[in-house]
Amino acid sequence: MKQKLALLTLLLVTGIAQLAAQDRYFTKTGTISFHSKTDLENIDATNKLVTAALDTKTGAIQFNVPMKAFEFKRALMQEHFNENYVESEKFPNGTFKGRLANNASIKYGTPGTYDVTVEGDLTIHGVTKKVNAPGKVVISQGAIDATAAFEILLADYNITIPALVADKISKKVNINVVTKLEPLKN
Amino acid sequence: MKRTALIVIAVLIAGLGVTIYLMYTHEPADNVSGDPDYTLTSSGLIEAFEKDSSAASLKYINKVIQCKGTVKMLDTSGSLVLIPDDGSGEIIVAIDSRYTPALKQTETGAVITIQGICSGYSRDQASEDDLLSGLGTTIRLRSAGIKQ
Repeated sequence: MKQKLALLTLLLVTGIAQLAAQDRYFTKTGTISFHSKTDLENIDATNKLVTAALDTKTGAIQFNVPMKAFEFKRALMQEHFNENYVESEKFPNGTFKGRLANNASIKYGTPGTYDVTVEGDLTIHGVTKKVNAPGKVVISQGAIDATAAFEILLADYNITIPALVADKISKKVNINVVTKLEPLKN
Repeated sequence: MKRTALIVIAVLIAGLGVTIYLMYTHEPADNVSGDPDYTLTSSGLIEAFEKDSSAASLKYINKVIQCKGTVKMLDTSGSLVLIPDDGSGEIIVAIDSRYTPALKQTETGAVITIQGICSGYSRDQASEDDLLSGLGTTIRLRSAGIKQ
């Protein structure tokens, strides 16, 4: 009797754990790119090592961005970005922790496309700021494509542009997020 | 005398201009075509971090690593996931855009050798507050390419 009870408890706990796991979707190969218009030359960079996870039950969403993994066309831009602007050695990761504001309106069990609002805390260069961005969630067979685009002000994150090029470089940066999230299987 | 001095100055200015232009337009370093700092199996790399992450970080992070593994997932736009034979973790690889064409000749399940810069390590540990926890042991390589 005791053995049966223990087995039943184990099955119940495992079942609950699996159900919880099915609520979590993730990727380790998400992409974040940014674009900044300048008088000299446009600055573009892409990072393909973004880890992201979404809890479909609560709408909680989280990102981790290794700053050194941004790839630029020019070596000098990459060097300046890491050493002078975001100081990657000191602040190796950018993070986002937030939620889909309208998560309740998304039917995760049915294929479809939904406009979403992502809100939360974005930390870059050791500075955390509230961000509110429009995005899209596409539910397909077994995966969720989540995208978002927003703009940040470099000054908000204590990223200073050297005086010599201050009037040539935009103070705003457009950020694009593209992720294909797969269910987490335990 | 004056003419010679003017020519020397003009040559110096032109040389400086060319140097600045070359410095500015120089592409990021190619970390794939040269020799790696370390060659390991993917399981050996994961094991090194699992055993002593501080020592492994000091030794491997920001160094050019070459390792072999099986392709678990492939995105032809520029990333792939490598797994070792013992399934001890995953190596997430961001491909240098100069090497993305080679991705089209690779497929899931293929055993390949990859070379790139070791960029980070995440231990597989669960935390209720952290959605990114419990995603398995992960090592990241950036600016990488498939070695032929």
